[in-house]
Amino acid sequence: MAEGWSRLARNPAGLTGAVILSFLLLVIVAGPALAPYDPTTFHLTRRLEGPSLDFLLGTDQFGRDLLSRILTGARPAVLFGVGATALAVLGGGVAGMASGYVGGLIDEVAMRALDVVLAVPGLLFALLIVTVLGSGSANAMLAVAVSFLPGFARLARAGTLSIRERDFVAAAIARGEAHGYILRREILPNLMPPIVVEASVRVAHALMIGATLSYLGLGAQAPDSDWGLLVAEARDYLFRNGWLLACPALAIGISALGFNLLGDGLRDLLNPELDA
Amino acid sequence: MREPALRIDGLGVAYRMAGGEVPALRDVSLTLAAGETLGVIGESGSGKSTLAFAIARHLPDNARVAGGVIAVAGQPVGALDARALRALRIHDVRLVYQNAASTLTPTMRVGDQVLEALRLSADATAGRSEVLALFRRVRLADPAAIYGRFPHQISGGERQRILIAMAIAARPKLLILDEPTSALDPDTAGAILDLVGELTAELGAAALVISHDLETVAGRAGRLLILRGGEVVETGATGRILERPAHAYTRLLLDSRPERLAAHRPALPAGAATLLAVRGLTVRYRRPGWRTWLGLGGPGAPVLDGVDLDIAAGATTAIVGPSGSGKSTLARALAGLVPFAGAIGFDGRDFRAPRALDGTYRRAVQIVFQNPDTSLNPRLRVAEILGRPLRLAGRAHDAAAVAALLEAVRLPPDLAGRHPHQLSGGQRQRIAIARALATRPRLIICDEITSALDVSTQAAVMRLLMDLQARDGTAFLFISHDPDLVRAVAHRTFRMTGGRLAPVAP
Repeated sequence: MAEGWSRLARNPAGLTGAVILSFLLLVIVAGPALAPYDPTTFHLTRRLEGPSLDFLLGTDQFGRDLLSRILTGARPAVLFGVGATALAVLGGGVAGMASGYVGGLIDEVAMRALDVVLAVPGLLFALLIVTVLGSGSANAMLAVAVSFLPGFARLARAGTLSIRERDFVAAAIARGEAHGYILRREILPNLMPPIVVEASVRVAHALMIGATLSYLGLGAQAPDSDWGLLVAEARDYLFRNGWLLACPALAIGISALGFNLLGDGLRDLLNPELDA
Repeated sequence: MREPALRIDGLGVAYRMAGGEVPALRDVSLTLAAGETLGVIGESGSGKSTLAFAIARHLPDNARVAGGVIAVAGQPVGALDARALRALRIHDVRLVYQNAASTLTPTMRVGDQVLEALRLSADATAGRSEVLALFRRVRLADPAAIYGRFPHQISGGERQRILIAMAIAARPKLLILDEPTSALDPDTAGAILDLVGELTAELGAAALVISHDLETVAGRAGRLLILRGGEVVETGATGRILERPAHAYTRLLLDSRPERLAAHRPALPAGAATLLAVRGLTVRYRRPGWRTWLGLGGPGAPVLDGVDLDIAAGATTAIVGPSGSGKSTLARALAGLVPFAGAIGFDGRDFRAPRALDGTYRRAVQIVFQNPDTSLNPRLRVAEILGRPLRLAGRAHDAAAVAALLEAVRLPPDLAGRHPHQLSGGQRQRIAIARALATRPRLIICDEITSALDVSTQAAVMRLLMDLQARDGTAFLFISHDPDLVRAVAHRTFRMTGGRLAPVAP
């Protein structure tokens, strides 16, 4: 593990990503405590102000402190992205591995079914699911997870298909190992690097879709401080206080960038051939 | 006095790596006169390919020439500008690379590829007839037919001849052949080297033949240069080196030749019982197409066609044969990895499908694969790679048991904590053998297990196997394309051709 950190430190993209995400983690854990005001307190005399010493990022239409809202909004926004991705990795990974390992007609049918799902744009698919299930953060997360699932299933299946043909798997079969062991100890560890890398990129993507759903009024509901919701509410006051839109949008962008960069770094970090 | 075709003085080359510079060649000097053939012999990591690339100034970007002079026909290569360097590569120094299959363009007819080389390097107005003349010169049978073929439609030996034809088209002063024969069977390899000898004599060119294979090169090169770890170990006339090697490493290489292994072979136990009785073993792969896709799969042509084979207990049974003849399929069928028809008789029972092969059989019959890079899980440590089969066989699987297994293949116990990529090729193959030994098998199927290894490593692995046989009475099914090696280690030999097996007289 110590060796892993030192290798991450030599990777500029990965290190930048790790620094951004460490900062993000701090905000998630301590955000509400760091917030200078209660994010729901109205300062009715000081509405729609730009940045000042009292309100570092300004205030919204009710005079709520924007900085406080962004700091408290980090937790739901990022947890949404991580949660949706984790669900998709779990479901898609298991389905893809099973399909690739079993092979044959079952694999063929499962993959064609996923192709159909993949043909529908992710956001559209998520919208469809939320419309059916009803709006709210939990349903939105589920919708994003379902729309991400086919991608992970494909990735896991492709990896399983190629690893299954390697000689170390043949050796395990030849000595009579059970399928469970082969999947768990011979195939899974070799499957993890591409999945971890893909997941880190997807988290950023999920964060954006989550924000979009909130913006469309289908995810988090007012008076939450979810970042997407902040952007959505800022729309009406765009020309009176641009900070309202720029700050949460920037927060979303930087977080996405952090996950993306870490994904790039992990790709190198998890490649055993790059070991000294 | 005429300048030698190649003169190298005190050449040093180093590669810049993450952890600093790694020297690849140190103080290498040699001279090579026109018409002469020099064999450069070295194992992997000896710097022999670096030497070839340094002469053509074709080194990778992270290489640095640390010193010394390379002169081709008196002209120092290091001082050339881009234009002169291009002329040098086109006209004076021609390289023939190791892998002919990837050197030729797959989408272009080989005749046209040679024509292109010919027009560029020798005769701008050359046409088909000049190419055909060149083909005859490299002794290609039926030049007119070969002209119109694509690289995948001709054999490995023919591809190598095509590359040589392209190289000699320019009448170069120096021909460098980097492992020209390592992808070929021994007979073809010998013929290719004979051809190189004849052509250099005809053209008055010098040839530098780089190889790991002392055996094949020795008969064809006037002088040898032995390289190890980037340094010249020994150089001199071939006859002198073969008879009176001056350096311990040269003696090790000579002792690693297959015929020296024969003395190590355990005697065939008298009246050895039959361990495995294979009857009518047939394997068919399903043909890709509509019927297979729809699950109606009509069986394709047999890869193994009714093979009968008795494998004697405690002895080495060898299978030789050309690639694609079904040798590896036989190995995989006996290991229960592919569906088969027919019967495998073991311990008085007949097994008729891979599903029927039970734990007793699978523990008794183990397989070791050709390439240890793919046969060891890169994510697991040696301790788990060896501990797991021990556990599966119901044996103790603690650190001491793993250490004992490592000791059995003559590896130090502290390798248990390593990952496969931290081991050398020879160490990895020993780990693969140790994994097979974990279940105390009575038969180990060895599928080309030494073909990815260096000569001296191959000899060490083979000695290890023969010691295990003498100690435990383990039987081996030894599959190889190397007739010399088989002759040295096998008690009985069979030849596989087109999925059928025939005994070879000892």
